[in-house]
Amino acid sequence: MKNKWIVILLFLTLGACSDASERSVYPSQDVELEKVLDEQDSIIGYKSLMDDNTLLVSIEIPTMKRFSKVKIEENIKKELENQYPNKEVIVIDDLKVRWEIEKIIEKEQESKELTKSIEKILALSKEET
Amino acid sequence: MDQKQFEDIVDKQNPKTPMFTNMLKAFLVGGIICTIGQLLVFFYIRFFSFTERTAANPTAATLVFIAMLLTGFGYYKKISQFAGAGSAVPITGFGNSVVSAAIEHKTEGYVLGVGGNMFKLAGSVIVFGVLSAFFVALIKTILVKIGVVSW
Amino acid sequence: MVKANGTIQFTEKPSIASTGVTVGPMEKDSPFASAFDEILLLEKEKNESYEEANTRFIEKACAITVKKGHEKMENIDVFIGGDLINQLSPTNFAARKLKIPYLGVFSACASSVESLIIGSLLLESGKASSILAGASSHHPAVERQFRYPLEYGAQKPKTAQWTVTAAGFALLQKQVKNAPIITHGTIGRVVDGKQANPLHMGAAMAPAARDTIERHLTNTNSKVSDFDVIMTGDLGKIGLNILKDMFTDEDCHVILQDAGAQFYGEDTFFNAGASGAGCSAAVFLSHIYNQLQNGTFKRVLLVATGALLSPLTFQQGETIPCIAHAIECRMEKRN
Repeated sequence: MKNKWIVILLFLTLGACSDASERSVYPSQDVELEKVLDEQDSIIGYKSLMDDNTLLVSIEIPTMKRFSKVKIEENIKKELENQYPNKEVIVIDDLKVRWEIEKIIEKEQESKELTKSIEKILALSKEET
Repeated sequence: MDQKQFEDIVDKQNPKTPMFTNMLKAFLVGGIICTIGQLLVFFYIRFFSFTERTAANPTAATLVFIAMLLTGFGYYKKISQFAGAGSAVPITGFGNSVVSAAIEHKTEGYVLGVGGNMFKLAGSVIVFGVLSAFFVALIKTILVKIGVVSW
Repeated sequence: MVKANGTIQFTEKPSIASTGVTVGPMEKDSPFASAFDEILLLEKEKNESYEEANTRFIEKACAITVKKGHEKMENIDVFIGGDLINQLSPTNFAARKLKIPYLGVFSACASSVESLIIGSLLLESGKASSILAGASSHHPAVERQFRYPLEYGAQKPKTAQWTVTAAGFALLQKQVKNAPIITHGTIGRVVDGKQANPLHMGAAMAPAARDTIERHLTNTNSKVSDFDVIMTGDLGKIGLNILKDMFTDEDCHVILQDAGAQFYGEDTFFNAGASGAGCSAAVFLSHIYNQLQNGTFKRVLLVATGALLSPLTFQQGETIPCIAHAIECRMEKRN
């Protein structure tokens, strides 16, 4: 009987654990990009990868604002498209994309590999089932 | 003795259902099952190439599989006696209803017995689930057409 | 023979010559376990269905009864039995093996006493001399018919009862020395207490039990205190309390007892207690029978209660009408 309660409490406390939100841009310190993204008060974190042709931004939306996830993604996408007209801009809020970008930033991939990784992530995010 | 007197006696002797304790138990067990589900989602996103959107599928399948094992070994009904709705409402409850019916009717053969009776309890879940999904989608389509909401 | 609104007096002394009770594994911790003839360790064998297992329990109980009564199965005139399964299949199939002229009876959990009353009537009429009568039930078989699949996680309330896996049969013969005799039988009337909850059958069956007990007392000019015990079949702990509240006689609180309430002792796993046609059969024909034989009890009233619902009537929104059959047994001075 007592064991049951210990296990339950363990679960409850573990549930409180979570990562702190990060803000990072890769591969270079793109001040303008950071400024635009920092201004957005609808997101609490972002990680982005930039390529010659693509800008992939994974954002983190606070839990209560997730109802308007699609709207927020579109707004940020529009703003970034204004700033980078010659690049394809993709803005996503997805845990998998975030973790993949984190892995790429850690591995410090360059040019061709970077392009391949970005394409892989894009293909993933387009999956429906 | 008239009906009213009898009803009074029955009410007096009926044990009171401890609503608050029952709700607490259901909440805890249901919450634990959902927490396990969330952990499974993280697991599938981390170690496999699922995104948030697609990870729901293997998670639901895994939870049903766990419910199937627990039902087959006879543990699920013990959890249920404790938790009530907490174990019946999540998808594990659906898995339990299908598997328990399948086990039960094995004596009547695989086609008519198992196949015909497997969804005896879950059938109404499926019927009303599909029906309500249809109506909700219908309402949303109308609202989108009017322009009140967007997809 | 005095006939007064359902009560029959038996003057030819139909006696319970011997009894046989088989139970399943869940019943082995019952306070009455030592009185049961055989406790089978498995609810069913590997290649059986639960209904076939039920049949096996019946066949075993009948064999034990006949053996203890120093009789042969071929010499039994009529086999009367009942159970809870659709079309009485388990008892039918047991009768197939016994090959005795057979009357199948059904009054749900009151079937045990119904068969004993009919058996006594046959003896009384002089048209038969050896009767095998009783009833049985089998927990998994009843659950899958009336309620949910066994492994389904439906939470049972405190008023729910556990159908026993048991078969109890008696050998009835006239004027057997040193055997309890059946002096009266009261045939129940269907009484509807307007209860509609199949998980609270105690409340539904209490009015029927009260009706039968009152008619029996009136028709035999007796009071509650004339009996050593008045035992109902399966009202359960809560149903028994309801029944006691329905009587104004103070003696009721001690003398009124219930087989289902005592069957599993104080184990709360079984909620309000035991139920089933096998419950009354097992307890009346083991524990109560022993107490009568050794002289502890001299006069008892056994009231088996039955809830006459089906899974269909419940789904169709009907209430649960019930019935209670009673027999009065006495132990005369040893000859």
